[in-house]
Amino acid sequence: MTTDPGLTPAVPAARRRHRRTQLTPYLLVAPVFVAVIVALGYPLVRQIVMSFQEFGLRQQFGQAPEWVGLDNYRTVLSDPAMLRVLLRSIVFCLVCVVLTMVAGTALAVLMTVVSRWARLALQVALLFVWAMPVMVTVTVWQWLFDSRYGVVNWLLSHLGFTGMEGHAWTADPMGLFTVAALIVVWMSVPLVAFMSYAGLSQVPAEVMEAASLDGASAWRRFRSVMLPLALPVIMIVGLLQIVWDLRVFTQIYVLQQNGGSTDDTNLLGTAIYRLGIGQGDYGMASALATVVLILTLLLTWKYISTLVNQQKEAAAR
Amino acid sequence: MDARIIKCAAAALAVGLLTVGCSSASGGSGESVSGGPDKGTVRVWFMQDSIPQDAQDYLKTAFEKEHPGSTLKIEIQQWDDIIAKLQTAMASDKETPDLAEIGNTTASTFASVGAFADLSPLYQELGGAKLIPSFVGAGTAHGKKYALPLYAGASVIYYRKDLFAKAHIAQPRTLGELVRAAQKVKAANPDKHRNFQGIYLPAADNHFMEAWIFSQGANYARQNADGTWKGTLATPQAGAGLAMLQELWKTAALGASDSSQQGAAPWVPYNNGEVAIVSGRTFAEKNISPEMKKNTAVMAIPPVTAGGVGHSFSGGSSIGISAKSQVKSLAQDALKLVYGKEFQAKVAAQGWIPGNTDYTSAIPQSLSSGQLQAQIVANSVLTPTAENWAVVQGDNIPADFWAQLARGGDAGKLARETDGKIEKVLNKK
Repeated sequence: MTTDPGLTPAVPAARRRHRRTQLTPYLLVAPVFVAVIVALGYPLVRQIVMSFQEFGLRQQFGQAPEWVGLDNYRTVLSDPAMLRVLLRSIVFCLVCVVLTMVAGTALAVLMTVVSRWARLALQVALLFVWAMPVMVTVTVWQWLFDSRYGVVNWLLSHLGFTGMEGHAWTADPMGLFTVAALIVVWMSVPLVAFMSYAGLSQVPAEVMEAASLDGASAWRRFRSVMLPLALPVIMIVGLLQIVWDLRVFTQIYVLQQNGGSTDDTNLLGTAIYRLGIGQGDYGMASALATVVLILTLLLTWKYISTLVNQQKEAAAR
Repeated sequence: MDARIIKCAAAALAVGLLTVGCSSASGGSGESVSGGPDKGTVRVWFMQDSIPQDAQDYLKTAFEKEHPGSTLKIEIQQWDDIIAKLQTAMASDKETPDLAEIGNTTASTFASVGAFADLSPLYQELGGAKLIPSFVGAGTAHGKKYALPLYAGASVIYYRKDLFAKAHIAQPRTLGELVRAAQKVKAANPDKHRNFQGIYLPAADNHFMEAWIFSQGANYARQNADGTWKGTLATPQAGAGLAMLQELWKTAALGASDSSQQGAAPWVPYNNGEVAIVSGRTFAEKNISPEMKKNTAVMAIPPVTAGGVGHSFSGGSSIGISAKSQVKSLAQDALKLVYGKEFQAKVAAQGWIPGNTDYTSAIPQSLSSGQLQAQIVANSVLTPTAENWAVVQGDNIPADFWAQLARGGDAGKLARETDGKIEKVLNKK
């Protein structure tokens, strides 16, 4: 660390000022840095240490943990059930991300073309969706899909799908994932819509005007002018969505309480929770959590490097 | 609030909780139940909605009067995620509550891992044989008593006495008669209700399902002489109960594949007149609509052969002194107040069966008498008191079993598979 510049009077005044300005950025970034170390670094280190230990409830209450090397990783990665969980999580994540991004961007485009009042109404509605606590949302959706009194079954059976009367949606894995994905997408769309709208509204009006004067269709203007210019923002949101949807927890966990197919509906989030808190096997859960961390990095690596390149290009321009 | 943050936090919970706590402090599982200074602060953890306010006030006042200079601090905990919270707090010398309430199904796990101090020397003084036996069993590990019953809630059966009278059905005295009553009342459908069913039987209400095998003298598992566990769902006794359930689902029951959210509100179809029989805790009574209440009678879950009551699961809580408590002597004195007549009576006045069944007379009069409730709780059976039972539950093994059974799966095959799963978890070292 740099010492107090006042202690080195030999340094000329100009250089001293220079050193002080060099120090300021570090001081400004320090609180964030410390917060990240405390809030993320420590748990992460503990997690990695624990993933190499046999660490259960007995250890939690005072027994010394035993080092087991890579055993936890070997067990987790050689368990076919865990590999299915991994695959299922990736598929679920990608489906949710694609649906969210398409719906969110479409809403953002809609906001750029409708009247001010319609846009305001849309934004207020989206804000409400976004501000709703996840448990409340899950409860409301469960009511909508209630087998006997739910409006979804009522609607479907009145539309002629008579088999849907009394249909228990969450009783089989596909139904459970359908409801869960709906909730996840529902809750994620507002943020994507707002961010994309912010990106899209940055596109200069002159550019759009020029394109339309050149005879470009509405779709062409969106596809070739608007989207490329707003892409950096949309990509950042997409990246966040991948990270979030890969570790979806509450929606699945709550719906799983209905029983019937826990093993067939576990995603990474619930699998880690069931290993750690449910079974009290912290070592194994830490190993799986570390695998998820690596998987997240792998899935997003290409993405991040593209983003960095875009930033570089933007800076060079 | 930022929904994304909540979502993130929930996900992070899974990862984050794995890493917190874990103090390296020494000291094994409470060798001694006494010790510590004469003056200090005793922290007591009670759960949300469990101990009535006047009982809490009494405990605080009486304790502080007996111990001038000491204080008793009651901290109310939420049920959500309490297991994780207890796991971390009770492992720490500084964070641990001195007295902690704990759900009776998880009591055995916490007793086995050494979270509580041994209360065996105090057992007689605190009530001895008068304490609810199945709960004492739940808090016992390695022959020592670590957690004792705080209160229990009885499960009863509510039925429509008007419909039963119109269909000429008497109050069922056995499980077999209960099955036939459901079928008969459905066939009669005296009120001509559309889609009427005899009984509301949601598989998601696992504890009601358990009553059907417990009453047959079976359970999920039993302990062998060598200490290992054997799954017992694939036994003739359990099989008889499972067959009755499947017969009901096939012929006269509503709600086989209901969600746990629906199963937790059995009064909804009952108040709608969709069913004639539901099971519920005695607390469910306040949710039965006034006009239905007039036509409602209460009975215990019946036994296999007439006489007495069946064996059901009684939910409730136990209480113990944390092994890490620094003021065990003071905590012990507070525990004595908890098991005193005044505190117990105040708990009973709330409608709970108090840990000491001698004080059930204080239970207020309702559809189900205090005497019936006490009889039900005295005959209650608990899920296996194995160290890893909480894991079985955490893995949703019972929930999956009952749900698949309700969907008409082969009972014998399901029972054998589930036995295997349960044995694998319970016998894991």
